[in-house]
Amino acid sequence: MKTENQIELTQPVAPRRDLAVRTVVASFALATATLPAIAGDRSTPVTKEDPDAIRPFHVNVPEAELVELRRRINSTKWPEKETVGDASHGVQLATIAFAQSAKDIRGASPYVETTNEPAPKLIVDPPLPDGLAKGIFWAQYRVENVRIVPVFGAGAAQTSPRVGHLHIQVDDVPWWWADASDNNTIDIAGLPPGQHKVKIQLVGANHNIFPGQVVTLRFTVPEYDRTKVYGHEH
Amino acid sequence: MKTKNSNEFPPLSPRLTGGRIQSAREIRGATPYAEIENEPAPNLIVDAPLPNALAQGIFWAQYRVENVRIVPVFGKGALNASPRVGHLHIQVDDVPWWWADASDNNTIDIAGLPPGPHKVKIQLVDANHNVFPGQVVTLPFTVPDYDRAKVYGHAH
Repeated sequence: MKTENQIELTQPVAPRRDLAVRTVVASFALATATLPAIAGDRSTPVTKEDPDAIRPFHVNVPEAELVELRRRINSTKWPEKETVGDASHGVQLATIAFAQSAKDIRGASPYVETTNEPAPKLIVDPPLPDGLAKGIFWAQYRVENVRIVPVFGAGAAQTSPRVGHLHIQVDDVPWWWADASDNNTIDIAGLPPGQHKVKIQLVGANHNIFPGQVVTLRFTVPEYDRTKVYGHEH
Repeated sequence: MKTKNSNEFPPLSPRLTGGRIQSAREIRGATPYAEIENEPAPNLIVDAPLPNALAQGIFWAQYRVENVRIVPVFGKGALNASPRVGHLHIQVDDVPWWWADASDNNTIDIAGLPPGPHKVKIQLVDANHNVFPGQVVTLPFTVPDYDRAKVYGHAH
């Protein structure tokens, strides 16, 4: 058994769990059917006295197959989450996605220095239409391969894993502000009706843009009653 | 241990300088785990912008608040959170829009301001974005002439 992994689905269990265990076995049967290289071990003797008894089921999976399977799962390009709450756009992503680990979702641990960290990446969703109708720009963002933290200056630029923050600039004003909150959503309010743009830059601790990591969102605020939304203070 | 709430401070350690070390509670405010009855009114304090930064068109102003925790928690449902929660609204010059800052990040950072007079208005607002009465600080300041390309390169 040098190169093979043995998975044993076993243990006699209470009869009412019969169905669940059968489901698992059935899934495995399906997996072996779709992956011919995985050979099922069907040599386990069947007890004649009780043909319904739960019995051990062994599969021997070559390590190379598992490596290849992992590679294929990791390289799968998952679609964006569907924009509807039902199956009208097809099978819902949440029902087919694999459970992703904390590391998958949140990135590398900040306690361990990373060598050859992949390039940082900024992803910004379009502004939420509900907000725009009130002159409010709400855009969710996320980053990869960089931690957004309020840590600044040349000394922090070499930190590993990489740290950085956002610069945000609105319309044609010549200034921008720094946002190191990692607060999920940019919130700009009081925008008058008409065309606007918000430029979001992902920058390092020393405020230099990570190459290419700039997203500019152009959008239109429809007519709305400013006094009604914001009162007379604004 | 009859400590009912809020306004009773724990014993304080002596300080080397003859005063006393201020407790965590004195500096950081009440614990967020215990609700507070009759919490005092919230208070926003903003320091003047740092002059070294102004010389490069950068507005750095430190702030702190009292009797409110700045957290990214929003909406009507959070209005009754105790201790009180809120955040900042920041507006620059005469643009009609502003942004929300719920970072509690010590210092507001606005860069690329051209030379000349400017103002930054900072409002302390509740979770539902209403200004706490009187908690508005407007800082007028002047950015001196500086070489924009030298400070920011040509990207801006």
